[in-house]
Amino acid sequence: MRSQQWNGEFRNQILTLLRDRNKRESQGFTELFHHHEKLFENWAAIKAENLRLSVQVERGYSHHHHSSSYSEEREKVLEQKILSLQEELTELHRRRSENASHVLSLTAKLTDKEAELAAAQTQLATSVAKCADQDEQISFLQSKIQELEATNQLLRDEHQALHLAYTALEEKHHRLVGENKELVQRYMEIKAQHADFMNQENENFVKKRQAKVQKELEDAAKDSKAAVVLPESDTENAGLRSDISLLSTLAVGCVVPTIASHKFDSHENEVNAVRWSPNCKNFATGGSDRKVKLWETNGNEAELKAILTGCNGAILSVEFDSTGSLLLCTSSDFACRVWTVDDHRLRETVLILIIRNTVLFMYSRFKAGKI
Amino acid sequence: MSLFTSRPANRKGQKRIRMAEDREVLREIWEARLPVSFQLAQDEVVTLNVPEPFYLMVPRLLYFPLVTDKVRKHFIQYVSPEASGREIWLSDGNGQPIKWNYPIGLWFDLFAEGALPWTVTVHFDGYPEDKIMRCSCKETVRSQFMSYLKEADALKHKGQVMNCMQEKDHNQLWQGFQNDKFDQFWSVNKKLMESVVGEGFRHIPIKCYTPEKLAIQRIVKPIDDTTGTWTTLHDALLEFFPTIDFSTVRVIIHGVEPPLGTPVQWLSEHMSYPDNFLHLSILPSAPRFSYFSTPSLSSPSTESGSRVSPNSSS
Repeated sequence: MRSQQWNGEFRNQILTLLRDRNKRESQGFTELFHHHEKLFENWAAIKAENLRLSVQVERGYSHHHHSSSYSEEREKVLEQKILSLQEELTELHRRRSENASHVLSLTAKLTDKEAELAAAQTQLATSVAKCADQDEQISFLQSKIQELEATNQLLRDEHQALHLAYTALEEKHHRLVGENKELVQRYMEIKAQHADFMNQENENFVKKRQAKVQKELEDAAKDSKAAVVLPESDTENAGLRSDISLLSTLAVGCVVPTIASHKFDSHENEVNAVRWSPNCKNFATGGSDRKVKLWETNGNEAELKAILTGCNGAILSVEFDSTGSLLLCTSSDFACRVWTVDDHRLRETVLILIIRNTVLFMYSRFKAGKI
Repeated sequence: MSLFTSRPANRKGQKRIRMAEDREVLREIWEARLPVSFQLAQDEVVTLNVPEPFYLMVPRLLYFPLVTDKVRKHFIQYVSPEASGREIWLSDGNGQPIKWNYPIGLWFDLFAEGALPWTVTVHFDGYPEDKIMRCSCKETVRSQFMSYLKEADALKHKGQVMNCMQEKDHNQLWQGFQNDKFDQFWSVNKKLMESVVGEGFRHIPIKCYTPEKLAIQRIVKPIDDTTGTWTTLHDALLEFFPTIDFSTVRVIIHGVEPPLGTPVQWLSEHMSYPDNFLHLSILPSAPRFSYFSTPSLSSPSTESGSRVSPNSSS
């Protein structure tokens, strides 16, 4: 068990060992070394003393050097010593001069080297400066390149965009062209339809007229005679003849002009009818092109005022009313038509048939004016 | 014959602190001297006169740079002028440069094989810087000494005692050590040897040295964990060399071979060097000298080499 107290066995053993060691190691030698040290010190002291005394003796002898041979011997020894010392001195001097020259050459070399170094350093400085300049230039060029690349990219993008726009517009154009074609086609179709329709209408109208005439004829055949009394004739030629004779009996006095004051083309085809209006300024012409044209004249020239359409056959004759506000025309489609002059609008269409010397009038509408 | 008696606990029942009190042993350790004969290396003599060897009784506990002033003064007149300005270094009888940071007694035990007086050669030229450090002044020795003290205290008391000490205490330790003043040194050092009664230090500051490998250090506890008794020297050495054969080696400290049954706690308190470390030399048993009474075998040492850590020589 642990205890606070060391049992002394090992301690005593160790103590004995230590004491033995001391006996062996130090006891024998301590005194010896001590004595040795003393002797050594004595010896050193004696040596120093000896040196001092010998110096003194030499000094003493230097006063009596001529008196005894021993002193002469001493002198010779001293002279020899002096000689050897002088030789040594010259040797040392020579060595010293050699060293000095060596030092000079080395310093010269050193200055050369330093000059070289300075030159190299200046060169280095200039090339460093050049290098810096070139670096600057490089960076500048690089920035420029970057700018150009950016603009290039921009242009490319724009081109791309425009290309896209172009393709879109092209597409649109194609589409519109297609649409246009389609529309034209439809229009043509519609126009054809309209023409068909018009034809159909005309046919219907003609048919209707014919039916009407037929009916009127039947009615007339049943009832009284026509307003204009004509001598009865069996043939159509008789009817014509009677017209002519009628015309000749109704003729009034007239002057026939010989020189034309003004000549111009008025219709595409033949001009079948011409008539002055009561205001003596306007006149109307009718031609085989189914158009009635209104003209205004100022004595020398004629100006086209209006084209009246609506007739389906060549215009055979035209006539103004007494006021000059209405215009009557006949055409080869068995119809008479009435227009108002001011607004050039068709007012009335009258179908006229001449059957067996009787002139029958079939009205479509009765609006204004009186025939 | 024991002069040491335990002190009973005081009235309050606290444990009293126990310190190294065995003055006899301490004094014997302190006053140990070795006879050393200093000789100048023969190839460095340039004068006609052959220098005499310088004999000196050197304390076992000191370091060489502290005792070589007179030696240098004596030999300086015999060397060339350019060498005379240099630091001297020493080599022992085997030609090995002596590391100055080892206590003199330790080196003697390890390498000198007991030959007396110990012949040490003094050199001025060719300082072997790859083998030993430079020691330009005594401050270097002091700083190493203090660092060892701090290390030992760290192992023993976690560094608390040294840290609580003032600068003047440190100075007193150094001055007492350097000037061979036992009372001056031990008045401070006894504080470092304090420990709780019955428990000892936390760890024992201990280093082992063999002629092949120097400065091996291991963790050694003063009390054996398994048995609860004080760790003996025998057990501590097993910590260093598990396969050691005690019949083939000698364990030497301060020139003596302590019994293997000695508690390491007692050894650390009484037989440490002034730097508070136990520096043990492990030598093969040789027929020339036997420090202990048992007969020694002449077989070479069998310390294991693989478990030993390669500490750099301090």
